Amino acid sequence: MKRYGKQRNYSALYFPGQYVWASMPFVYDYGGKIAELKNGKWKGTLDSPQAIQGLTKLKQIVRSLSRANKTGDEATPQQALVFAKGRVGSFIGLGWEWPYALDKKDGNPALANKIGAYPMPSHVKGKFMPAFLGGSDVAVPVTSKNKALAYDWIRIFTSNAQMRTLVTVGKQIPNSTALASFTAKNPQLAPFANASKSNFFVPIAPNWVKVENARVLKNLVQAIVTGKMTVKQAAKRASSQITKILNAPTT
Amino acid sequence: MSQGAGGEAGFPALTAAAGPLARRRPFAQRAFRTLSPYFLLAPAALVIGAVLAYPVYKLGRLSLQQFGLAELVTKKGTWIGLDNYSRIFHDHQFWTVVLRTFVFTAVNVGLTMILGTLIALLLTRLGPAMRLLLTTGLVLVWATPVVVAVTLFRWMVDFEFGVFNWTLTRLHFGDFINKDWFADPKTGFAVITAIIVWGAIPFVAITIYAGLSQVPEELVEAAQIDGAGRWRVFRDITFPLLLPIFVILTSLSIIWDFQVFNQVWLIRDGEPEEDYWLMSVYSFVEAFKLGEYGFGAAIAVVMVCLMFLATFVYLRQMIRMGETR
Repeated sequence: MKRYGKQRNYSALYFPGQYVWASMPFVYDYGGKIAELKNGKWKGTLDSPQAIQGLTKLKQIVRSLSRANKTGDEATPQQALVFAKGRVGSFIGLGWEWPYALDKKDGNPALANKIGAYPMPSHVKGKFMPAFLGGSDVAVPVTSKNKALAYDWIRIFTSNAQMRTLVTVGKQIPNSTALASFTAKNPQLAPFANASKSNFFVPIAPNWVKVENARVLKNLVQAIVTGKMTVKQAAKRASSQITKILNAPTT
Repeated sequence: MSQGAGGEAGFPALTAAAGPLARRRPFAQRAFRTLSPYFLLAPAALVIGAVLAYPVYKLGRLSLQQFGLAELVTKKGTWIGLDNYSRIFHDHQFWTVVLRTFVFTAVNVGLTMILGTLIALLLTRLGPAMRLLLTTGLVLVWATPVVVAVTLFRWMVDFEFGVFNWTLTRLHFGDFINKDWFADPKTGFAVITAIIVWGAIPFVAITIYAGLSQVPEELVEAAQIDGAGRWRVFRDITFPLLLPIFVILTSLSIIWDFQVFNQVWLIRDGEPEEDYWLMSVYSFVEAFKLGEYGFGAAIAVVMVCLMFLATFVYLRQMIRMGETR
């Protein structure tokens, strides 16, 4: 930051205020969780001491290193393209994002030999920060007329053979550790495959989608990094919202 | 006087002549004559019934039901009477949203009317070339679709690459590098208001300009000879003469601005923060984001009622003016 002090919009780490999927790893890195299931009831746990420790670290890092939009997200504008403009030192992204910064049309190919990727380090020396291991879900609708066929298709699609193509041609992280040897061979994917060994997932609750639709986590992170609420206030609010939503009658 | 007397004398004679004719008309023809207005109205009534009355009826029904995602799958809601409504009135967020919507409407309508009137007055004083240029500009703005307009404004006030922050900084208005207009809802709503007023001015300005051309020159000249200034002429001559136009434009603007949705929704990327919720947004979020269709419908019904109240005064005045004509 000091070296670029004169460039008023430079970010050492570009971190928009609604970047939930890079924020939650801080919670899990310090031993916190989004929610816990105890005796059949969900409880939001973002206000646990560990989670608050992680969120406080997040606030400190974002406020000291980032000049990204605190009320925007990582996709508008695409953070890889802000990076390509040369006003960003680093950003937390997915496997496809840093190659996108080198895109001939939208990015800056000249950066090719100057940039690389590495797993986010943990606050514990020698460890990695847990990464959110999620993506799109594949499911069969209740109203499907050919359920058996649909299940077959999902089984084939998620099989190792298909996933190998996803790795070698699509340059994506596969769904199984059995394919680790393929990702390790690809210099572009290796750091991400490495990072994905330490991971977490959102609470597997039927109502989780409503937590996302109600913007609970986005509101939490945005309130913390803008300073609209203290970490404790924001965490308490989010926790009680999560408890309420996850325990509501499932639809 | 004599003309009036002649008219009165002629009137009974005409009806006397029509009388025997009507009596001789066959039944079918008479029935057709009485019913034909209804036949003519039927298509319009059908269309209004299909696209307005039926959906409003369904909305009202939905607002009395517990209707969530599960009910959407089973296609059957549970009747809960007025529970959704009592939930609304105990929801403190609802009252914040209502107050915000009223303030927002007042500011937007006020600015639209004042700026529209000023531009209309400016149009009457411009030379032909400038007037053509300004009118063309107004029509182009009026023709710009909302989605395009919001996208343009969004780019202009963009945090990273916006031309607005760049220009303000270059013009030494202060340091606007990485100024986030949406961090504070006040500046955020200022941007939204700018989009709405910008888009609404052309209609108001052109309509008032058309009205201004109907103000008799003699009245204005006579007032000026009596020593009235510009403001006095506007207040005592132009404004009273154009009152019907002002009333219609204001009530239309209230209706439009009270139900603003697109501008807020699009400029916050389809995920407005709670600070940006107007009634329409609140209803939509509850219904379609959180899957509370019944509750969302109840908010929409309350919104319609409030809008009726807000425009009632103006509508009544409009009807009264119609009677005195």
